Amino acid sequence: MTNPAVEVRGLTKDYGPRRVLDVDRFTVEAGSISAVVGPNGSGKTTLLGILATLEPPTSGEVLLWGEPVGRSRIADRRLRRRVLMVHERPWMFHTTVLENVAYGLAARGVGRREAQRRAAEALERVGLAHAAGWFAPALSAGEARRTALARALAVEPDLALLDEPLADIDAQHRAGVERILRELPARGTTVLLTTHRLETAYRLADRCASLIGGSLRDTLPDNHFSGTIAESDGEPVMAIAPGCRLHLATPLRGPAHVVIDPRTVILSREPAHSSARNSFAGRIAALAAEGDRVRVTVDVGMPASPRGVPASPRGVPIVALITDWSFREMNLQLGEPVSAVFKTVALEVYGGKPP
Amino acid sequence: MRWTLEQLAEALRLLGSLDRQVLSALALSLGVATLSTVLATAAGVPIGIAVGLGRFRGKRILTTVLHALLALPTVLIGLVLYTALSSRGLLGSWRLLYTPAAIVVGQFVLALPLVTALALAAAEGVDPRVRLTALTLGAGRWRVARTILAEGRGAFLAAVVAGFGRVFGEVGISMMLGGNIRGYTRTVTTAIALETAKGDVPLGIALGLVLMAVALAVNLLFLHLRRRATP
Amino acid sequence: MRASRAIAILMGSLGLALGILGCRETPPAESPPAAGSGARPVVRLATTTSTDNSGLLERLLPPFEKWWGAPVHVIAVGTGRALDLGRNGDVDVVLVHDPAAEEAFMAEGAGLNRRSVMFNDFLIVGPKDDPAKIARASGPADAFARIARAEAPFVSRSDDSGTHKMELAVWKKADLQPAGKWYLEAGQGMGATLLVADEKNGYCLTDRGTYLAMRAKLHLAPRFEDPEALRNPYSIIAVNPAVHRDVNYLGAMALVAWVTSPEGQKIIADFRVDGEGLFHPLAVPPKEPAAK
Repeated sequence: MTNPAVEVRGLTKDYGPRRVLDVDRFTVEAGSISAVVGPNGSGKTTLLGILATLEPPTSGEVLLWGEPVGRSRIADRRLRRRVLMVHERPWMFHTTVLENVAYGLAARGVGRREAQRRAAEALERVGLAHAAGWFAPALSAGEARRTALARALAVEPDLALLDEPLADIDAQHRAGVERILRELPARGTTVLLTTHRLETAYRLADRCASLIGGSLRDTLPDNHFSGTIAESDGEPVMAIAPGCRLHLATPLRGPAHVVIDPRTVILSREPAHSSARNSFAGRIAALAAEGDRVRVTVDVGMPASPRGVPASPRGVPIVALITDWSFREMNLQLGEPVSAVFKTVALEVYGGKPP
Repeated sequence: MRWTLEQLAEALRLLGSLDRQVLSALALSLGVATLSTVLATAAGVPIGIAVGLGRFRGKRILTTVLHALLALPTVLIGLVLYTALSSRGLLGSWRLLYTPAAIVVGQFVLALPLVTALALAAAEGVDPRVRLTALTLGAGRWRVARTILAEGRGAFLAAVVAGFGRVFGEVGISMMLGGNIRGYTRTVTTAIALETAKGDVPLGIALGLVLMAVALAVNLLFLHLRRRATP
Repeated sequence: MRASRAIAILMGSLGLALGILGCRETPPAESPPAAGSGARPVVRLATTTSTDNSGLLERLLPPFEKWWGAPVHVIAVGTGRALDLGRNGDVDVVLVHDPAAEEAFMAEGAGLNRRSVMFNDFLIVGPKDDPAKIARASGPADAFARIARAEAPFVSRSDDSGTHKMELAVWKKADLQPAGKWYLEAGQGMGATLLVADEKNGYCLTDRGTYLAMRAKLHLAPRFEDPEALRNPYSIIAVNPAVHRDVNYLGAMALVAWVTSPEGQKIIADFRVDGEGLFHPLAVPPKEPAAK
């Protein structure tokens, strides 16, 4: 990492007995767009809040452009001026939309006329120029989010922390907002955004990390499934596709997330007769070399299609990481039917409640 | 029953004839109440916001003490301040006793805990996102406070109204520190006390009705202000 | 937000203006003329509530204010408190009716130039049927004794006022310590105490002035009178400037001069409440017999 805008080391945050954040290492390169992907409640907002110097961590170190946060009030204030956080449900002050957008400028001592001019410009870019005189709290969720984005555009901070920037944005304006976000680094703003949708992260970010249950992983997890753990004949299961149910070994129930480490997925030509309870038939959808490993993506849970034809993408992908040696020995081809097999105990469960 | 109605009828009749002394008492009551409320607001609201937003060790104890001060009887405040303002007292050289200024001082002491406690509650009642949004947008301490005030203005206005109401209708302080001097420090409330002590019940009631009418007018004005503040 | 701010400021200013106006309002007497010598400072008089309530001061003070050229601020409290105000230098002159307390006051050196001004009397009011039969008492002490024996309700001011001290003196003379459910200590001014007595249909020691003023509202009526034994003498005393340097000594002495002057004394003699004369001047008694 040549020029980190953000560096986090050993960060934890506890609310009473509950540890909501546990991040060993995390960095954001200056001038990049980074994304943190995770479900709701995974600690994304807390992480952004700490990076925005709005909240202190329970332990650990945060460095912004090499400077530690939490040393002195004056230093923090200086750093805070370079960072701007847009909340998931942004607060609209009880005044006009224009005044809301101009707030950040006024706080920085920009004269009233100039502030209003720049605010109007920002509103124009997010497509809300017509709403400048409206009463801000009356805006719809999407309009409020665009207004909050306009606040950031007007101020042009060095680091923008955006919590779910595309949520609630209606389809008509989505492309525009994405374009604005992509243009930010060129204007000198490093972007760190959070989202619960993988596609958003892929489309916008240079680098992604995932945050589940307060723990950060540097890469997006393959095999991340969200669903409900229900009981079937006394056994916990989670449906991930029509006809596909994950068998779990956990006392937790209810809405939860399940992650399967690709290294624990076994591929088999025959439906395996083994002690593994999770066995899904599917077709090989993608193959990728990774050093001395091969990443195999298998689409499971779809109706069968003739050999040689790529599997239709309506199935659920399960990724397996196998050795190059195994790959060559099995002679796996695209579109071939295989089964993805893994043990119940290999599943990692996040969320869920004890019965 | 009949006697009560007679007294009320007499009171209404007296209201019709607007006595010069009544007007003078009314002007004085309004004046000292307004002045003391303005001063209590100027001091209490910033303190209330600062404590309300703050996170420090003694906050709960401080808030509890503040609430306890709300129970201070006006005669006690009057008595303590009398010993301070008296010629022999600590602030005797200021020669404030038995002047309207002394009433203002006493009513300020009365209104301050109330306005502060309510401003504190108002600040705590503002959505926590307000403070965070203001901070991340670069606001310094003063701007954050002003923003909290603007966002919670309904509740803050209610604090001021409560303070005004408290001092407008009080008699203990006006009596002890003002002296009920005819034409000089005779407020409507001390006049009511005097007339009822003399047994002139109709006049006492009439004055009370005048007091309440003015209080109603003031509160209607506050209501109007509040409506305009929150579109 | 701007418009409502403007209105708030306007209201505040209005209130302030009223406050200042109210503060500067002078007593109904004409404003002191700002003569070439400059306006004279206010004269502060502490007196008892009964004196103030009688209405005498409204007759007696305005001519003084006009002549002397300064307003008189009257603070009406109980006798004990009035003398305390004098001791503390919070007023310039006191007008009270409690000889024992006055003598103590003078002995302390707190006051100067004590002058007898006037007197009226106390009387005992009671229920029409006079259950304790005090109408036939031989003197005030006997009347009190009868009340105690009959355990008829008796309402005391119990506020250390001149009236209260007179009452205590009579109890002492009767060698009695009043106690029991029939003895009610009101702790209030004379008017309020009379109302309590009226409500309880009991006896009460009152000064004539307050009684005359309240007569119409009471069911009680005078049951025992003894103008000699129950005499209530008033004195006026200026606060000693040696003790409190910045009292308005000249104003105080001017007021003392006025109330003991032939003009002032005539006003006192002519003063009527409900058609009856109330105060009898002592400094310059009238030549003709006092109106009763």
